[in-house]
Amino acid sequence: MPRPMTPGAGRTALAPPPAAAPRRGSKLEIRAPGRGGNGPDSAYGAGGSLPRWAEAWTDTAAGRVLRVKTAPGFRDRLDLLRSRLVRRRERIRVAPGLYAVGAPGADTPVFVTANYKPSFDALRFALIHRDAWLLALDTKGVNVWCAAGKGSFGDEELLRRLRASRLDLVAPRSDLVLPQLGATGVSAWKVARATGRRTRVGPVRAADLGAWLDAGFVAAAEMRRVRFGLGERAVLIPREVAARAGLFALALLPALAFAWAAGFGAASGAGGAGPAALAARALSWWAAPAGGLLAGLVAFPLALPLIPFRRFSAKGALLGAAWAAAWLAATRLPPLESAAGALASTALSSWLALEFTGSSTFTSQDAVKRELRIALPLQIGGLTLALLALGARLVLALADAAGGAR
Amino acid sequence: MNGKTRTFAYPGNGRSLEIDAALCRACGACFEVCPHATIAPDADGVARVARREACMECGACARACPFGAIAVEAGVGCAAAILSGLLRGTAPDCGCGGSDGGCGDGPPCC
Repeated sequence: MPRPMTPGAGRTALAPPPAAAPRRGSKLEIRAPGRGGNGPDSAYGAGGSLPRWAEAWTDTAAGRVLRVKTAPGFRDRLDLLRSRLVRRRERIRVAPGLYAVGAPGADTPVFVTANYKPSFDALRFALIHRDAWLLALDTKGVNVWCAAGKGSFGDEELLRRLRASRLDLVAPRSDLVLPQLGATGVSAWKVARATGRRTRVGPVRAADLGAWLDAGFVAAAEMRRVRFGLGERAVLIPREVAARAGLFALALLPALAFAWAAGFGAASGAGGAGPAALAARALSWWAAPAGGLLAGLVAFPLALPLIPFRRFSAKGALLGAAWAAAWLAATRLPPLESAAGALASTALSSWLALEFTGSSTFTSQDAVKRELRIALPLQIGGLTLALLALGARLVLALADAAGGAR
Repeated sequence: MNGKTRTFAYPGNGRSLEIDAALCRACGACFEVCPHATIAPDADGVARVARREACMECGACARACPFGAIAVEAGVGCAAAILSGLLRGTAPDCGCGGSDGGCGDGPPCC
């Protein structure tokens, strides 16, 4: 069989050097997912090394592609769980390229997605009992929306991936189904013009694909909307907390310093404080910044629409101040500790809330910039004042000790 | 569907969104891609801004319009990205996407 000569089957933009370029017959080409992904069958090894989420190899007019499973397995659930916990979730990815669901043919729609595995998984699970082609773009393990915003889920990559997977040979008459959230990076009409294929914009959520297909590619208004409800906000929390674990530890330093200063003064005077009392004092101060962090990282995402004010930093500051008020009432520490704790709680919660704009689904860049300009100096000012209070406390303790020793 | 899509809005949203009604041919591509129903057709099907404060300026509508009728300054609305851009003197960038870049934040989507 002659080597397929797809017009413009671009060798240009495709990375591998000529000698290493995998050909359709080269079966044992095993490469790490995410690199290259030339021919349909090049990314995963042949024979026994099927990924767990694939059923089998399927022959196409341009070589073999993996036929994927459409029911979640244990590892898929584990991957989803990991994606919600780990910092480097972009490592959870599949190789870019073409995949089959069921037994697709020459005119079966091609569903375009990212090579972030949870995105890819959501798509294949939504296509259960259907025939489809999946085309995973090389988004470096980033989900569709984020990648579209960055441009890696874009026209250029889509056209390149179409050529690399030789879709003109595999499915010459297929429509392209683009995810709605990819529209920030992919222009449907430009792709239609460049490929001669019909493009359709699928719903926001893969889970709605079945209903969308059954309705004849018609999306109910609700399918076109990003919701960001309580559940969608809640799943973000574990990763946010895990990523900020260092801040909780860092807040122990001033806590210990405060406790030391308090103990130092007491020890130099009449009383004296043992390690247990010092630890208790440190913990009681630490509760202020730690609570502020939790307010911004946990309470804020959960209660987002219910918190008064509309700017994130103001909402966060309110939560942090509320925690500070409760903390002040419960601990009754001396003035400098109290002031430092209340300021730290409020400022930290405010900043983390403002940072949540990056996880939220509805804040524009210009608007966040405007808020940042006002809020950031206040947040930095609050933390600076808290540190000054700490410094003053230490100076007082040392002066106290010097006075006691004299 | 559950029928109760909460309308999130954010002060200062959508300031750069502009639709040139004279260029619009009422194809509907823009409101098809808008994730916040910011744009709605008028009686003639011509696109108009219906809920500016819901507009996150993602730029999907402008990209979807074959007639160049929509202009918007698109970008990620992420405080950390903007700040890191300011500190490094670059455009806002959340740093994800590279093989070694960890993405701390990002909208959740499928």
